[in-house]
Amino acid sequence: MNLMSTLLLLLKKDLVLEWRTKEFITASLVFGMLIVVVLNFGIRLTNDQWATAGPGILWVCFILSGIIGVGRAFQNDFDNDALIGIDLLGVNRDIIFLSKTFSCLIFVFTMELVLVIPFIALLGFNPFSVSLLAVMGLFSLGFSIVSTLFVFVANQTKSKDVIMYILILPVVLPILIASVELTRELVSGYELSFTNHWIVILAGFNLVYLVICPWLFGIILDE
Amino acid sequence: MKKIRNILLAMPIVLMLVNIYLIFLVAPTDINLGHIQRIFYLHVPTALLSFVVFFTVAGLSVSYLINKNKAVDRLSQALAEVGLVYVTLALITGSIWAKPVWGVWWTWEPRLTTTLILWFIYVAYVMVRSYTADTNRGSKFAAVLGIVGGINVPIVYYSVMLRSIHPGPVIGDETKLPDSMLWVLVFSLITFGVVLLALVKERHFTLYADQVISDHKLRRQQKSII
Amino acid sequence: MYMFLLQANLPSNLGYLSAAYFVAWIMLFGYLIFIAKKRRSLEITLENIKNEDKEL
Repeated sequence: MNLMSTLLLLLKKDLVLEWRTKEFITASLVFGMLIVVVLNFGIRLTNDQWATAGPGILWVCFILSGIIGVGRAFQNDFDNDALIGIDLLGVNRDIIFLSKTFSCLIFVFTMELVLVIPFIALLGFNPFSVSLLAVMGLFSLGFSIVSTLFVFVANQTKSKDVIMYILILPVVLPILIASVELTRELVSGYELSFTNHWIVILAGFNLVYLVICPWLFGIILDE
Repeated sequence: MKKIRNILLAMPIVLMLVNIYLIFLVAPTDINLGHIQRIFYLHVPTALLSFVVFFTVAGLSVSYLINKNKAVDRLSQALAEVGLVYVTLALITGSIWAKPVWGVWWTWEPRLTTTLILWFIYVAYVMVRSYTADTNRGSKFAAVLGIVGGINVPIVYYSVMLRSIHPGPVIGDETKLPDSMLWVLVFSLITFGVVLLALVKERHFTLYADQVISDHKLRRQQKSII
Repeated sequence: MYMFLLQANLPSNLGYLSAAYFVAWIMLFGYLIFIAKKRRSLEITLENIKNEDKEL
């Protein structure tokens, strides 16, 4: 079986599993909605203030719900030692990592898409544009790469839930900054271009971690 | 052997006393800032050394993941712990310095933010190790974090720098340091470096002893089974 | 002399200065004591181990 079909098979496994349990989507969406509700009572902003503060609030919401989601998404794999099982079958470890990352990417991206709706409906702040989809995609990819590695690490420590946040948040900070600034630019009417330095940061981050994380994952999967 | 150890322990203390003398009595008082500028000789060395230590840990982590040499792992653990103490010091002294000079305890300026993120990564490094039951696994996880952190720090610096390009106060416009201040700074840097090495050496010994003791227990268990 | 007069007008901020150095010494000493304690208990254990090995 060649690498590509293995990757697709593993990806399909994750998607089917998620379709049946809906663990990621339920956990992250309910949590994200709750943040929106709590925020509504926590802050009172005028329309002008929303334009500056809104993008930051949106992405903090995405990132926290995302971490809740990825924490749930891998639970099945750990409860049944499924990753070790797949590894023992002799599947290329980079492929295992990438399949997890891509399934994560799909979940996170979907979650973000759905979560924008309560943002528009409940808070009256509309950040949505087609260009934002590109930003969301790039962010979700970087976020998925990093959290696939770190959720795997956090799961084998004593207090997984705390460790997960402490590991993921400082590392994804650059792409959080980039996404927030890009969204702010988009909201105030700028056009997105490939030479925008925030796009360069997002792409560069993804590229660097796409090389390093599979290598590190392969090493720590040993035991 | 004991004598050598005593000398090694005495050296940082002597250096530190000389350093205090230099900082408070020899170094000139800054014309613009006054006495408060003397925090500089504490703040800059700790901040600088914590970054040096951190990149050393990142390098050692790569080496550990490739060769699985336990001595390297112990060294990076000792370094990271002392590094955490130093980076904490750098943050606190920086904040105490900023208050009277800039009028605020903190600004989200690239260097400060990067140092704060470095602190978080150090904390995560120490936590991951102690929260993992299996020590071998803990070492590997810590090494992973050391590497990711080493890559992350420059990216954070760059992205925070881009973010704060537009407004923001002009901070740290480096006017050239007079020689009399520079020499005290260099001496202070050496002193804090020696203190760091002494602390690392002591911490490394305790880690080594831990290893010897647990190996011994394991051997005894094996014997009693036979 | 002129320099001295200039300096006299500066806010001394000695409180901040001493606070910074105080915190620094406390932290470094605290960590040193933490290690020293650990070291002492470990040395005792190592000694015990040596004695046990002799008995065996």
